[in-house]
Amino acid sequence: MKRLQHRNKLMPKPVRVLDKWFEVENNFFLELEVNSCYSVPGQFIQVGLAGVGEAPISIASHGDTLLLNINIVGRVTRMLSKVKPNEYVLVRGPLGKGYPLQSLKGNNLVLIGGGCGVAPLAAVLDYVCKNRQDFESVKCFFGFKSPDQVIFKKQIKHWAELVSINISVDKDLKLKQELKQLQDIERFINFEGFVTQALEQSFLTNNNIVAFICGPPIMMKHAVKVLKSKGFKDEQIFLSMERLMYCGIGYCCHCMINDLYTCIDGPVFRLDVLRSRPESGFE
Amino acid sequence: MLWCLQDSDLKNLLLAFAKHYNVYAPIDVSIPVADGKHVKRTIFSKVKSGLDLRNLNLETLPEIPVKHLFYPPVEVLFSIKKSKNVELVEEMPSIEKTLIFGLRKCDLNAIKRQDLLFSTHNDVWYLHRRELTTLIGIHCFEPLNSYCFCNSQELEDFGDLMLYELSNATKHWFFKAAEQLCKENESFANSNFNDLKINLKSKLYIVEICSEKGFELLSNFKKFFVKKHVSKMLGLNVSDLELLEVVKRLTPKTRVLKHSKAINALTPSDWASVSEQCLSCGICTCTCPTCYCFEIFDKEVKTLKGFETLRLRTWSSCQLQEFTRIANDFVFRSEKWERFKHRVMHQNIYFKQRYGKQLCTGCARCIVNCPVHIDWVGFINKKNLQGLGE
Repeated sequence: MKRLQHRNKLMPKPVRVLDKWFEVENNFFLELEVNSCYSVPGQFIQVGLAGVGEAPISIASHGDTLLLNINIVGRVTRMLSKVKPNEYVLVRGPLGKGYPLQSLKGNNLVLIGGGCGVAPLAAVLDYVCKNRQDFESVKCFFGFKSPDQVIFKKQIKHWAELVSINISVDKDLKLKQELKQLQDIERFINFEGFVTQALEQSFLTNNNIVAFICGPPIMMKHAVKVLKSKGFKDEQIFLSMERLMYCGIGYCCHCMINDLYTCIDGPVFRLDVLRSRPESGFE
Repeated sequence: MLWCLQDSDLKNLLLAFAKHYNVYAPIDVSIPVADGKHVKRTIFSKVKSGLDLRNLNLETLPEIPVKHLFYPPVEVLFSIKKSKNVELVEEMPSIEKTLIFGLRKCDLNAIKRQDLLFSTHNDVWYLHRRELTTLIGIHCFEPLNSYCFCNSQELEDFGDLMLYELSNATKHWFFKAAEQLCKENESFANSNFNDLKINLKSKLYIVEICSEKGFELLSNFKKFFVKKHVSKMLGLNVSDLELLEVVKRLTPKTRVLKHSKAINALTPSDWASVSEQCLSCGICTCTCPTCYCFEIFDKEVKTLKGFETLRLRTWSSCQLQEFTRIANDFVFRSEKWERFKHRVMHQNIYFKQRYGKQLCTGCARCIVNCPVHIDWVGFINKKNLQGLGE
């Protein structure tokens, strides 16, 4: 597998698509022929198509290939969903700062993800499972709309062998018995309600532990509230922020959160950094 | 002795430059508007012949800065050839040697601050154009309009050549400088500071060489320049070089942006009140010499060989709602006060935190060109921010 290399920072590289599949409607996976071991979990790439444009997408793997999980929300993502294996996409990256896993060795981890926000945490889990001895207990709380909306099924089965996985669904918990496509992960879908409620009801010590959160802005806000009520300090909470991005290298200015650039200072920020920035929504 | 340029030689010099460079100078041009009417605008316009120079205007600040000469509104980043495989071809525009004449200190510093930004990001297109550009500045003794506020914006000496006008209209600045110099240095005592006795027959410009590029330019066009004993001309008994050093420090008495470090202390309702009239039109960012936000998108164009895809970079503006719009139509800075605040904060605080200098150089084009004349500097100055956030 080749490693991405660039001269001109705005110049992408054509990269071959190995596979593409849909697990649920309007959300698909792209597997690219690039080694994602060189990226830090939480980083993103700019992926695009000639004549269509680019979109920033979180890296959702840590291994021999690079996995992307993409929600179809706009023009670029719709066109990307039509790509077939062996075709080429244009890629720039990896970009941004990820979760500082190296410096968090020896900690307990709690990962909180909502919907497509599970993607950067998937890269974290790939890393953690490879380096399981570096971390104490690892608890995951993932939230989806309903059992038929659960994604990363294959990976969840694999991660569950090494870490604790709790999946909550906003509604229709009973539906899980009827669904064949769940591939033996229905036992992890154990809560009906928002993922933040599941988090609230769980027992978490606030000692020697860090939390990673990624999801829709409203979910992240609630998750922070719950963690604070459990005695977490701002320094123990890391969030993956979403903004509009073009350059990805810190000078088109679209992704600014006050003085911070999401693309180079983030997308992963420690909560105490966001506290003094009203535009983050965490003031 | 100092290098000088006689005002009568100025136009000939610019025409001589024009044989070797693309020369841009502040020129009054007539721009057609509705109903067959024309309006006069001072802009940096290309000098092609002596005719263009009839309307040379060194009295006002050109309405539009020169950033488009280095950072064009539309830039082709690369082209994409689609055959069997995708092939990316880096596009480097053909760039000619350029000379810009008549830049004020605010514009020169704006270029310096953009240099800092674009060199940090190794922006090949910008850096290539800058490398082939020579900058000739002209010193402001007086503010060019009542809105400028460069005095608070930490401007530095920058450029390749700098001109200082010496005429009956500006000679008192030289006497003031000499007086100051004598106070600082006793060996120059007994000079006569009475400027009334001196009558300068013609206007001339003292030329300061500020860089190697400037030295080379002056050497190549030496016949237009003369060396003069300036202080002797003025009946002063001081060193020419030291006199110029003091003259340089006589910056125009513009207003200032007070308590710029305390802008942070302004409340959302303050921002809402200053931006109440704002139309979010983006003219402030467009005519700003330092604003640089951009967008990247692909465009299919028809060429002789068929269709070709270009990846383009175009200017953008943080004043537009679209600027922070993401998937599902969510806009992060949806209120206009948030966008207005972001511009002022980025210009004066955020850029400084990252690069050590504020982006804003105090040219006040964002105020002068604003269709509803929002004077944000005046607004902030009226607020009592003394001691807050500093």
